[in-house]
Amino acid sequence: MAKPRAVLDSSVVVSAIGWRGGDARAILKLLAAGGFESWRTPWITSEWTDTVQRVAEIEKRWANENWIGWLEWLKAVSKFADDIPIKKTVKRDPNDDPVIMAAVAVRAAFIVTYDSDLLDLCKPHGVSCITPRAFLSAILRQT
Amino acid sequence: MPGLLANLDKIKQNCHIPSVANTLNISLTEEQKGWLNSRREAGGFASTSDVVRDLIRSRQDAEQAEMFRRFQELDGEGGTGAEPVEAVLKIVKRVKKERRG
Repeated sequence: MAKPRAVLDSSVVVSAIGWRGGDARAILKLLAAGGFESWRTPWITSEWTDTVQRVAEIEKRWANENWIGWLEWLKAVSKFADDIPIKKTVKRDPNDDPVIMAAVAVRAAFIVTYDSDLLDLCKPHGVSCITPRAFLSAILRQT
Repeated sequence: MPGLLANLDKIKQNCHIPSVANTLNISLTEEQKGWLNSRREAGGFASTSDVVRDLIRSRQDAEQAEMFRRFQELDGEGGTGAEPVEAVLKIVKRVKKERRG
């Protein structure tokens, strides 16, 4: 049997790297201890980098100078899959967001996110979009 | 989250997604194939696939231990307290919008 499989949205990654007292950091602690599998694609990885870099530049409360080291750790501990082609449409369907498509491609059960655009979708294509706190609760409920 | 790490052994035993077998064709030298066959016989494995899976699991366990050790080194870094979710999300959404065109 495999471990629970999740895609970490960049909103959680940047929070986990930037602050050590919140639910997002607890997610990485759970990942470090082998409590679930994090999966990434090239697209997800570059979004992690772009968002962490931007928040580090802009947010005055940011206090982690070693964010590159953190991203390297997260990349190393996350399993990797190639991107899948995303169908181009005239009107973008929120259910076809690249994060969701990546989660579908790697058969992830969860997208862990603070992004209300994703949370509002609830379970697009069968993938549960949940907050870090709900994810921690879901994993602990299995024990 | 108190007690999180204390529950991890249970978490590992209570996984809910079935593994799906995938087939890969791998080119090996004669010597490597002979070594695998030797491991299969000596280790009582049913097939060379079982030998390879066992090797991968061993390597994954070693990497997991190293990743945990590295995390403990990093864990003191970052701002104190919880993340300012709304402020972070505002920037993250801007970046996402730019990336998605």
